[in-house]
Formats: sequence, C-alpha cells, structure tokens
Amino acid sequence: MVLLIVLCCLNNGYSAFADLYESNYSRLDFEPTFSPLNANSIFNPNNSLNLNEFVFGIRSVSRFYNTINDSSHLYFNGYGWVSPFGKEVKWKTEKTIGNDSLYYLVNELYFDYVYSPSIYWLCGQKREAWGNGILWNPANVIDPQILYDRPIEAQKGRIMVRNEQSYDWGSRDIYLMPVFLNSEGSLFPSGVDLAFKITGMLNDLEINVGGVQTCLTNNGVRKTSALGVWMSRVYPNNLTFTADYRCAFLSPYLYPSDDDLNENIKRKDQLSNSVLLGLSLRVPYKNITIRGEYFYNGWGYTLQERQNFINGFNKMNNTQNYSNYQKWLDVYEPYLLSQNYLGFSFLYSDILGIYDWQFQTAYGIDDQSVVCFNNLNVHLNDKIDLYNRIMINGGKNEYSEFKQQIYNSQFAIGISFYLI
Amino acid sequence: MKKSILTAYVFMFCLLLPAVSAEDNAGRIVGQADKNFSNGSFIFYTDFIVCRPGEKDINYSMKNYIKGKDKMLIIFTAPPRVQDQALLRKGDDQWIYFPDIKKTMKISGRQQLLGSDFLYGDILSLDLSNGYKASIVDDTAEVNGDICYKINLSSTSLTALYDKVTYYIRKDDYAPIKREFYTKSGIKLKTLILNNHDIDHIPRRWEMFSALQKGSSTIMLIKSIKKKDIPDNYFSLEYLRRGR
Repeated sequence: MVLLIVLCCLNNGYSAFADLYESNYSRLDFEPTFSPLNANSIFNPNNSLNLNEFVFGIRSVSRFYNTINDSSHLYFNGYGWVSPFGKEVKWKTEKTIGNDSLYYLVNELYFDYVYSPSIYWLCGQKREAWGNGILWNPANVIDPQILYDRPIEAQKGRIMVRNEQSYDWGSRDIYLMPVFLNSEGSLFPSGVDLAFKITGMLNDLEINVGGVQTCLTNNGVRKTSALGVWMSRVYPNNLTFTADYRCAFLSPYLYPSDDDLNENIKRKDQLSNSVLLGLSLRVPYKNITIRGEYFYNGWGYTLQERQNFINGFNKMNNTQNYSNYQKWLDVYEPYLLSQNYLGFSFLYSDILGIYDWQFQTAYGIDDQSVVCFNNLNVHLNDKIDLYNRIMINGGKNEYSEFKQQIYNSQFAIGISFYLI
Repeated sequence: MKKSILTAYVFMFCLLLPAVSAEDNAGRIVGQADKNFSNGSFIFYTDFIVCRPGEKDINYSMKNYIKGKDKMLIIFTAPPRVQDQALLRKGDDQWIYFPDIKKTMKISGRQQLLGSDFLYGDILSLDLSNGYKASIVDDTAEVNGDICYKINLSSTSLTALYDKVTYYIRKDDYAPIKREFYTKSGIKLKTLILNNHDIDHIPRRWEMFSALQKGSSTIMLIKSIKKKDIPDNYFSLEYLRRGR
C-alpha cells in the first residue's frame, strides 16, 4: 500500500478516472438490533458460549469514499457494535473468544490507483462480490458470504493487492491475499491466496471465471483450491437467467483429526461441486423484481451425515474438548450444511421513490427449514433514510438447519445519514 | 416472347421502385435525425425529474457519457442514496452497477428507470434507425407550428424496445420533435416531446408523458454538453466496477 501511495505521489497516473464517479461520498448508519438467542443451536451447543438469552445492541456502519487526486481514491467502511447487556464470550473452559459489549471492525479500507486507461491497481482491505447470486453466492470463492451475512454491504473484506488489466474482449484481474487462519494473534500471514478473475462476453452471454489457490503455507494450514464460473443472459421479455458454479477441493484444514467430527474426516480429498441457477423477472412498467433460485450445495451433508455430525458435536460437548470447534466455526460457518435449497426474492421500489421493500425467503428442501428476511427502507428526504430489518428462522424439526442457527430471529430499526 | 418478358420486368421494377425508395428515404430521415444523438463523443450533465399528480417531484442528477451509436455510460450523481449507481450500454448489452452491494447486473432495455416514465433503453439507446422498418405517412404534419415528417416505425428485431413508434422529425433541419410509442395492438403507451433544441439540433428538454397513467410524466433536462474524446475503456464492465 505504501508503495502504491508513493507511486501515486510521484506520478499522477491516468487522470481521466476522476471524471467518472463523484469525488466524495459519506454515509453513517445506526441500527438498534434485538436478537433472541437459540439455546439449542449447533453453533452454541448447550449454551457452551455462555451467552445471554438475547442480544441487544446498536450497530453502526460508517462509509466514506474520497478522491485523493485525479487518479486515486481512498475508501473506508467500518463497523461498530455497542451492547449495554453485552459481556465477554467464553467457552465453558473459560477460554475467551470475544466480547460482545463493544468492538469496532474495519470492513474495508483500500486505496486505488489508475495507472493507465487499461491498468488499475488496488491495495488494502476490500469485499469482493463475485457471482450472480442474491441469497447464495457459491462462485465467490475468495470472499464467501452466507445467507446470514445481512446487510451484505457491512461485511468484512479481505486484504489484497489487485491488478486489473483491460483488453478489447474483457478484463483480467490478479489478486494476492494474505491468509491469517491458524495463526491466531500473529501479525504475519500463514500463507498467501493467489487468485485470478477473467471477464468476457461470448455473444449475448457474460462469462466470468475466477479461481484461487493457497500457496506459501506453513504445515497444517488451510489450503484452498477452488474455481468459480458465473454467467448471465438477458432475454428481451425482461427475464434474466443466471448460472453460477463452484468446484473446490476440501483441504486438510477442513478435516481436524478429531473423531467427534468424523463426518469431516470421511470427506478428505473429495471434490465438491456446487451450482446455483437463477431466474429473474423485472415486471414491465412496475418497479417490481421477482427472482427464484435453486442452489445445490456441494459442501452440504445428507440428512444422515448431518445427524452424525451433530452427534459428534454433542460428544465434543460432553468431553468439553473444543479444540477443533473454533476451527470448524471459522471454516465451515460460511458454508451451509444441507444440499438442496430454493430461494425466492421480491423487490418493490415505490414509484415515487419514497420506500423500497425487499422480501427474501430460503427453503431447505432436505430438512424443510425456512428463513425469511424482510427489509423496508423509507426515504425521508435526500439526506435521511429509515429502515427496518426482520429475520425469522424456522423449521419442521430440531435438526432443521435454519432452526439450529444461533439467533431465532432478529429485529432491527435503523437510520442512515448521507453526510455529503 | 423476349420483348414481353422484358416489358414485364420493366413493369415490375417500376412498381417496386417507389416503394423501395420511400422506405429508404424514411430510414435516411430517421438516421439523419438520430445522428444528432450519436455523432461524436460527449458528456451530458442532466437533471431527471419524475412528476406524479398531487405528489412532490423527485429529482435525480446524472452524467451521461456517449460515444457513437452504441456506447453509453450513465452515472447518477444525486440524490445521495443513488449516487454512483451506473448504467452501461455497449453494443446490444446493458448493465447496471449497484455500489452498495458491489454488483453489476445485466439488464434489459425494457426495464423501467427509477420509477420514471422512461425505460433504461429510452436513454441508453437513443437511435431508432436500427431495429425498425420506417415509412413516411405524412410529410406535412404540424407539431407546435413545426412542419414535420411523420414516420411510422415498426420493429423488425426482437431487441427493439417498442413494437411501433410514430416519429415526428422537423423538415427544415431534421431535428427530432416527438416520438409516440405503441404496443403491437396499437395501444398508446407514452409520448416523448423533444424541445429546446440547441445549435447542433440536440433537444435540451425531453418530456415523457405516460398514456396509461394520467398526469404522470418525467422530464430530462440536459444542462450542459461537453465535447470530449472519451476513451473506449470507459464503456467497459471493469470501469463500472471500479466505483466504490
């Protein structure tokens, strides 16, 4: 990053870029949030994390985008949380794993530099949004987001150096991203993810291919080898078809040698394939978008495997051996546990621009579990929005995946200030 | 025998000639009118006002980058909640970029723009000389005191935005004056009035009236135009995604 800033100071780069986007943007959100917790969650077996019965707090997202000079910008996106009832989160073994009363995270902080019309550099922490999916995004192999990462714009990005080269046919990106897993508390990365992305058009079809490979790792550290392909096509009758695909090798890190988590061990050296198919309809002359998605999750378990897995957790809880549990959370949390899902999204923007309403639901076909998200944004004026987010989990039985989440439901009312 | 065949050919040629040349002529007039939108490389700074009966007007501002017939990039600059949203047209493909979720989505030109009376395609594809078959139905039609060609356009391509368009083009200088948009069955959808033409015959005020929602209209005002050689790279997905 220092090198890029020095480069920027020495050379004004290609100055046309600043003409494109507005020079400054700043926004601040405050969101009081209430979430009753689920005592039977597999993410908190038998309340091993020793949490309250509910979480209440105020989260805040602050963002600004600033022009440094004609060819470079600085972007910041930070996330703060303060909870009057929060406390240290500990295992029953007294190991502290966090604090839910007060914290601040930098989600994104990056600097970009346009060297020439066809060469672009970016350095810092940035969230990458590969793929077409709305509810799931399997093709995002470098920065996976899960169903529960809402709001998506407040999620943590990855540290990277990125170079983009444009061609007549499309573009090619190369990423270098340090990996910090399994190196708790260390400032030095335990490895490097090397990634690429290629975007091009083939007749009417937009095709993207992206891949990542972990290299320069220490022994025993997670290794990722994954490839994502995503494409979209628009038809004249306002229908958009999208297809996303991911294939990935499960890495040694994903199989902690712990018999209690034996369902993982069986999966060693398997190749997993995931597919997301989507169909969107924008209703003509109305501000309504309807989208249906089918997701086959190659990482997922069959029902029997999942029950074995949960039994493994229970054993782990009985012996109070949580050595691999945190690893499991770190690595598996971004991935859902079932195999087949259906999703539905409905977005309505009021014709007068006063409010937007978004409803999303995901249905787990294998275990009849359901999760619903409802967002309502009211635009009070040009500077202030009010919004409401509701999330409700449900399922047919105690093994239903969405019913096993740590939150039963979540309710938030927020206010956004556009400062510039 | 040879003579009678030759006579038949000449007769058929004479029958076809006026029809072919009339169609060519109509196409040429439409091409001439739309050349004003697509001749060169410009940056437009525009205000976009959505008017609904009994409601407060909604104002947007945007920058439009235009190069030739098939490249356009529109970036919203106000209000802040849509700031840096962008629309791109490159050839027949069109995308929208949402900076908050950092996603580009491929779109159809037939989708409605920001709840207005314009479709994306109405401002991304200004040129009606492609995808339609043109025929002059009146060459002395009067619109607000201007004598105009009245030209009917019927779609010949699945990607055309409308099934039928009636286009009024001023006879004196080929300035575009009015467009009426219809469904295949002839139901009028809306009317676009183009006025305040500048020295290059570019209309500075575009007003779209809905025929289906009484009193509903959207005004696009071109505040300033800057001629500038815009690099081709601007009109690419990569540039679109470089926003925050």
